[in-house]
Amino acid sequence: MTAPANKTPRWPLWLLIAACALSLIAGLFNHWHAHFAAEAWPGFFALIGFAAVSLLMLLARLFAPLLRRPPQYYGEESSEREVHHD
Amino acid sequence: MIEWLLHPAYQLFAAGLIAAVAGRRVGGAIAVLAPLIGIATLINLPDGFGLSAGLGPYTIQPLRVDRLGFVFALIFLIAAALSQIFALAENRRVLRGAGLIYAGAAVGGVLAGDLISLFIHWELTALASVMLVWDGQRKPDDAHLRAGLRYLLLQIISGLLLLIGAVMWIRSTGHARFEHIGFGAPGGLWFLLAFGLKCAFPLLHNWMHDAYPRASASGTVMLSAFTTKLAVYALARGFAGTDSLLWIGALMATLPIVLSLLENDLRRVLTYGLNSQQGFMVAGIGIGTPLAIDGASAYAFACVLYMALLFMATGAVLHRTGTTQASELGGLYRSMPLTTLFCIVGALSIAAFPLFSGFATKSMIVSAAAYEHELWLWLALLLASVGVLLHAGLRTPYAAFFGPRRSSAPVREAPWPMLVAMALTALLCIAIGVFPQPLYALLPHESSYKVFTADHLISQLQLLLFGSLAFVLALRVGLAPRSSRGVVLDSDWLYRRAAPAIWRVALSVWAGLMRLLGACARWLLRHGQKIFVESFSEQELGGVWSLTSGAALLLILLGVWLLQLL
Repeated sequence: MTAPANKTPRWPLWLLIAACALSLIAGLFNHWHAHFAAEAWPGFFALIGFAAVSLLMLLARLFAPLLRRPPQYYGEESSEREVHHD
Repeated sequence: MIEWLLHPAYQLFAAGLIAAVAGRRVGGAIAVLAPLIGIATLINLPDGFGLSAGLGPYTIQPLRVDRLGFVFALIFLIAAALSQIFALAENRRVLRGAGLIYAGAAVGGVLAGDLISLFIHWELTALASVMLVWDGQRKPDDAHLRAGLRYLLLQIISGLLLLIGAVMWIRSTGHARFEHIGFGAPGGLWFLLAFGLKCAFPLLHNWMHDAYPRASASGTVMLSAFTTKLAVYALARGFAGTDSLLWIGALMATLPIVLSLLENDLRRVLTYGLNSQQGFMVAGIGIGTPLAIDGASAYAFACVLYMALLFMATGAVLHRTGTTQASELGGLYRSMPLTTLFCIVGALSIAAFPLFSGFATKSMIVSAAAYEHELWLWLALLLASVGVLLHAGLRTPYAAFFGPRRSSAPVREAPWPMLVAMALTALLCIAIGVFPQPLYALLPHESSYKVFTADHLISQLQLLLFGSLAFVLALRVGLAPRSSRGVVLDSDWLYRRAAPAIWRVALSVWAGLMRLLGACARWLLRHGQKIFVESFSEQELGGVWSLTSGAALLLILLGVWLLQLL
């Protein structure tokens, strides 16, 4: 996952932001049948979604140096296979 | 005798044996038709139908049709048909023969009415599936063969644990029927370990990540469908409502996520995704209410399909490019547009986007957790829902089909059998997502569940959209974890590195001790002789003391010499 080239179109991002905003607004007008109090908080699920992805990517960056090893670590060859053009 | 041909599993066994020796056209036709005949047979078997036989003092029932077994047998047969269509592109006898026998063993397992039949089919899935692992390389090297052996060993151990549990159960209850077992029952712990090993419980899971990505494109599709879901079925039948499954499921759903983000092989990333989804099912079984059991069964049904679809899409990429390493792929949507589309359907299904199969089924488990006020489990399932969105829903399609192109080699769209199989699987994923009622009607407890409520839709959309926003923003500012070639340490490190290292250290410590004792013995032999002779000559071979001390000295010397020999 590297940063995309600068020529990546911007409209998908704006579309995503618009969809996010719509889901937030819909949540404000919804009458929640909550089993936990938190479910009815405005934007609770939005917060969980955004925070969880950020947290997981942060954890991945933290654990990367601990858990990543070179490809030959277990003394195996690469998993390359033959290519079929038929 | 003829009624035994009504057993869908035996139909698959027979077809597998023929398809393994038949040529491309005949073998391929049999491989695709046999599971369809199996479906037709299964649907026409009445609920409660069974075939029994006597085995010594016990009755075994190799065929028992009830609602729980039916759902799993049906999805196994569908998965067998779809994966065999996909495998036509690779045209391998092993895929047809071992693939059908493996599917038959799984079907036989979920239709087995007694523990002995369950055990036999349980071990047969291990034997047939290891062929698919070994078949992954045309000329398997040493590392590949050893990986297959590791897989086989753990699968066989799972079967032996099941056998121990079964013997304890049969001795104490006097019958062999497979019904609810529970943790406290005779052999309960053994059953739980056997099922847990095959279900990939935390720390018992790594055989999956080790072996699955080593199979061929079609082989991994088949592997992903049967073994783990057979274990989910066994848990649902034997351990519904077992409290310890709640936290096991929560850990299982969340722990694989971080590892999946570090992994570079996309098929291994998906295996972590599969492991995490198994956690949802285990948690549902732990909750144990009718809705939760139905949710676990429905989610297993949906999971077989979308996992197959995702492994088909990555398998097609492997077929055309020779690799599934994220760091070497990207930008394939131009050359493989249809595969890209099918992969996105799979991604939306596993991420549980509304109108896709994951949403219609996973919601039942999450709702069941909320209805029972299991706050921590519910939060863990939310976290895992976001996690699977991240690695299987966003990262896998992005790394393979979007993002920067890393190679300039020309790539063609997947061959037609692969496209047909992916199209059919994608259709099923969408059909379940849009019209979930027919699937709900098949579930063991026939729960009436309303999935398209404003609460479900809004909460899930917020979760997924804001999760995606965080991913896109992280990509833009370069904060997302980078893909690079390499090995990610997981629990297999314990038996591939730590255990051999401990063994080597223990061995060298033992060898050092033996050398030290040997040196002592040599010193004693050299100098002890002198002491021995002197003590005798001084005392003129007399006196009780010298005799006993001489004998003691001899004994010690003998002992040391013996020790050195060891």
